[in-house]
Amino acid sequence: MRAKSRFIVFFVAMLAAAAVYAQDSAANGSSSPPPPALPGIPEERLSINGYFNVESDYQPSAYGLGDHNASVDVDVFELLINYKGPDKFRVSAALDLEHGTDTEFIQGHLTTGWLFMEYAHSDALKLRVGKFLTPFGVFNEIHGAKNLFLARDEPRATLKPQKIAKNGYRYAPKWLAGAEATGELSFGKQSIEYIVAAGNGDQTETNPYEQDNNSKKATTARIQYSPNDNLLFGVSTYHDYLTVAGASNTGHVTSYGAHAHYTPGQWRFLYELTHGSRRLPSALLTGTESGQVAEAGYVFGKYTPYVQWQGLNTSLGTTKEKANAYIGGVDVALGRHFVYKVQDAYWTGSSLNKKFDFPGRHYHEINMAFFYAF
Amino acid sequence: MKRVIVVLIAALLASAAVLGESGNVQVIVNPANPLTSIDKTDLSKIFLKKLSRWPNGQPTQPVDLPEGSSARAQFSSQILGKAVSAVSAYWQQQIFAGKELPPMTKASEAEIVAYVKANPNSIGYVSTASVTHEVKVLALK
Repeated sequence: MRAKSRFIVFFVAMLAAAAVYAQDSAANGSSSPPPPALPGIPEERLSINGYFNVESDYQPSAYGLGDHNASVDVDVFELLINYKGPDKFRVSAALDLEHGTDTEFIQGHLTTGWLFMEYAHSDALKLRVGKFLTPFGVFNEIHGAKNLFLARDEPRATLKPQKIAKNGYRYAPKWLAGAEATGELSFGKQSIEYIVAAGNGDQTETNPYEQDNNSKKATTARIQYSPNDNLLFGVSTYHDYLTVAGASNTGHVTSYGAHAHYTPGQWRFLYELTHGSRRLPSALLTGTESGQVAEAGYVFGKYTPYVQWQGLNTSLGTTKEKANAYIGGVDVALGRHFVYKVQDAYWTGSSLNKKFDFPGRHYHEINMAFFYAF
Repeated sequence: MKRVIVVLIAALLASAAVLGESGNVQVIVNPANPLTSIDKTDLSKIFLKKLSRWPNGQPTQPVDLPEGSSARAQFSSQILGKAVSAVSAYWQQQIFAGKELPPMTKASEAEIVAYVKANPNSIGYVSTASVTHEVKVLALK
């Protein structure tokens, strides 16, 4: 009860702060001037972008996978640095400072979100080497950029199944170190974007972005077709062999995805389907999993209310786990690049889902975030 | 009824006046650029960084006005077919997925003209009043 009242006070304070800001920004109504160029480097060569996200969750009930303490998470400060040379080369780096990084006390994380160099032969062919976000499905490549999707978080059913099912696993690792070829072919309003990549894949024994202990490489590909500005279809695939020292059998991860994004007028619709199988090295059983996410939203000026459904099915031997989420929320544009998000997520798991091994097997969680992009 | 018709005519006249103003944005390039006209679709692709080379193989260098500029609002709507906010969202998608970077932005139309004058591969847009003889206006096809 005490926790609940504390959360309500916190929630009201956050809303009040948002309202004050909204009034201030409306009163000022001015657009900010472009950032000055750094001395010595031409403005068109170097760019710095990024985003900052602070969020909080509150699970009112005693049982569940959520946060009962309404913790405030200084989620991420992401810095994106691009240097575009006078030739056809570009170096791109994303630095993620997560959870109030403080190395002195071994708290939080500092991660390279990506780090690659690109050679742009033409619009239809760009070659990259380095570390990338694996281009599988809709969400992995945009990961924490919360202004690019409706719900507070990326969907677990299609991106992070391991969070809602004991036998769940990622369809593709978050990152891949290797080489990528990408490009876009456009015909009038229509366009086709492709990306193919090969890299070290996922490993537990070595730094997968440095020493590869696996002679076989992971491969991934995605094609997106856009018949016009409002509609996009995509399919993706990922395959990797899994090995560990001393294991006699090689395992594998094979995943497929399909997605569609439709934005007629003020409406926002998205559907994503993922399916995959995985066998760990030396394991006898092959696990499978399928995830879906469907969402719809409507932009009313500053407010974008939305609903989302997620469904996950995993199977390993006789163990079949299911999980569903029913989410409703609203995004409030407090400024051009400043978004406040609040939602209620209702999660439920099947009787064999070991992650939901608590009374009732379901729970609500209120999620919110303050997100600023620059 | 008469009053309604008068109000409707006044509204139509007002909107026509606004549309007339929106035609004032001119696309400019450096005088060394051999083109004299440009297709609207190609122009859109250049500003969305989907077309990065001129026909002679040189890199295109689009230069944009700030988001609050009325000329940018007209250009976005007429050429890119989107509101400035939608274009901004498009660029955020590109940037945060590690793809492309938006065109460079200059603070004023005078700076756009100066930049285009100084850079042979550049392309920009300004209102008619800001055009000088030091840059070349491209006709829209």
